[in-house]
Amino acid sequence: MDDTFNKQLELNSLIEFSQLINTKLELEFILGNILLSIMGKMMITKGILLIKTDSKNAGSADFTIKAVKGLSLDNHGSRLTMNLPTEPIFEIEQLENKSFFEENRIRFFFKIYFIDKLIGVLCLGEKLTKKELSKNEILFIETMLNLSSPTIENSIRFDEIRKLNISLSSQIQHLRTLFELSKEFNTNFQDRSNILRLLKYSLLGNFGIKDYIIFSRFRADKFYVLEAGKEFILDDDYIAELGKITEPEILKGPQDNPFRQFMADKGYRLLLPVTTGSTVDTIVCLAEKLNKSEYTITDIQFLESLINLCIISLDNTVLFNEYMDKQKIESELKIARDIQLALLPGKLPEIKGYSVSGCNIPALQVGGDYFDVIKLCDTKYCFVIADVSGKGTPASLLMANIQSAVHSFLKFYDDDFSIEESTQKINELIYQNTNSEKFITFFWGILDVGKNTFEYVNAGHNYPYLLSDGNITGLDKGGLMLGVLDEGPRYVSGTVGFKKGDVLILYTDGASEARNGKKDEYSEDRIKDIVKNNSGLKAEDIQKKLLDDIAKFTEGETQYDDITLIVLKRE
Amino acid sequence: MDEFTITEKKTDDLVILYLNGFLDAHTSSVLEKKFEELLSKKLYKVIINFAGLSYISSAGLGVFMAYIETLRSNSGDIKLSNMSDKIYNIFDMLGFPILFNIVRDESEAVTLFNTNA
Repeated sequence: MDDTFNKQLELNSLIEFSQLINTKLELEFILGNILLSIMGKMMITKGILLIKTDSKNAGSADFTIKAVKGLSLDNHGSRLTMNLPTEPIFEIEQLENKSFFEENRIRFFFKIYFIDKLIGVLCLGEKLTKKELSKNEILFIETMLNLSSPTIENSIRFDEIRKLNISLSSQIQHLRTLFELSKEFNTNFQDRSNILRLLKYSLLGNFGIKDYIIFSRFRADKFYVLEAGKEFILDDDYIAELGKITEPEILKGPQDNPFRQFMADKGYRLLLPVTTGSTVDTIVCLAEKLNKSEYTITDIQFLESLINLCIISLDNTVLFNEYMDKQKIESELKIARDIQLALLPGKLPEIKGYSVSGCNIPALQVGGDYFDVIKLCDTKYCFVIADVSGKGTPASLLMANIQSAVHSFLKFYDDDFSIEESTQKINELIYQNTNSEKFITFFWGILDVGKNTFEYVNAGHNYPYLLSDGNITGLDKGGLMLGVLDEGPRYVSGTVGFKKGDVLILYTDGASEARNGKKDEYSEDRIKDIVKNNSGLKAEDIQKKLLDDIAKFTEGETQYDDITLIVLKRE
Repeated sequence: MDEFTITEKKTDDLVILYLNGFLDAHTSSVLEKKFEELLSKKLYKVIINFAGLSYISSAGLGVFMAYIETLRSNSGDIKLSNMSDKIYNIFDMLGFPILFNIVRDESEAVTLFNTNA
């Protein structure tokens, strides 16, 4: 009678229990209930429920502590590896490694199966009465475990799916972040502070990381702090250590390297080198996540992409600004070139009985060569050719200087004009306006079409050649180039006559020293030959022959120096 | 298209911000400016009502992280209320409930401020 009543009671509690746990899917709640129901019924004060974590090895297995009752265990959720005996029910003596269970005074073990698969172990302490478990009690526990095993299995699966879901959602969140940032950086790509601001918020927002340091060595020989959550200074020794990091490193527990210990002490948990192109130019140090979990491979992959995106955008702002600066300089150079072109003669004056031609081909955008043909009066014309040392903008400034000096002096041209004295004065002017390493080779002469004479001064310029009766003469009278000495020896002038058919050629060393692919120079001799062989042509055509020949000689090589020519022929 | 607006209600030293629309990388600066404005006015007790917010991204979450400590060090706080499940899940996933009081509705947040004070 009593026995039947007891059986009835047991059955009721089993039904009630199975109803309760079947409505729930939360693993910890279900396991807690299983423990409490069994412990209450058996008058046992300590219980642990282990759930198998790896499903491969049957003999030795990895378990996680999932529920604990009657024990103050702080290693809840931690893992245990056990070699289980083959029996489905066993006692502590049958275990190989029993210290953990001995400490917690656990005695009885029941394996939990779902169909044929081991899914967990129920561990129970001694009964309050210190008695053995009776056959009926063992049967009750076994029934209870059998009843709950499908639910346990379901909740394990549910738990796994829930975790998978969280990890998927966070990956979606990560992808969203990357997508949003790249969109933002594309539309707002010049603003460095905006990029750093969004990086900060993304680190804070994705992991709740409050502290971070970004070290960079973009265009630098060692790492410096590009950006940090709070002010951060690192010793040079430690800076050098940064250069050795090639793989992501998680800082956990004591470190054997002082630098890593230092960073760990400061609260940093991840050292992440970020490869841009083929080199590591960025290292990111991140503090602990808000939810205290460790950085996973997925986190690291996301962080790499995130930081890479930001770093590339940051680098791009620099490159973009440089490009803009370069564009600005180029446009300024173009303006300078236009100004300089205006300083050179546009259309040369027509000279009765003579043909005349001149050209200037600059090597860089602006150059230091100058030439001019200026009508002084009906019978007199001044010819100027000059080459300022150096190239580019500095040379062009001095070229403008000599141009204005020449024009100023010629403004006051009259019968008393002395080309020697004027050269002297221009030299003084140039000397005052420049430092000693800048100089100008300068040649000028005045053609008198009445007398058909040409008076000139050559201040250190390549000799212009006069072809007369098949003979070439270099015009060499003059003195030092301009701007070297303040009061040197006086400049002296020379005068040559111009007969019909005579050709005068003036050039700068850009022509005579033009180089071909073998680094051979074009040479004065070749200039002379062209003039000799083409002396029957008009000035313009002789010039064209010469330019064509120089072009043929250099054939696609870069032009290193300005080429300037003047050809004058008495027809 | 991605609109984001904030309306504000102030009672004594308590400010309630009603967020509307999309809080993302692009619009996060709006919220940031609002926090700066509150700091400059020495208003440190802030309730954020999320009822009108349809989307929040990490950059948006980051703004809350960036200001919580400053507000708390001035004996203020940020309390979050009226979140949709979608928005709450994002906060939950990143562990925000550890750091922030997240409550069902605005009045609960007000009560929390009043009882703590």
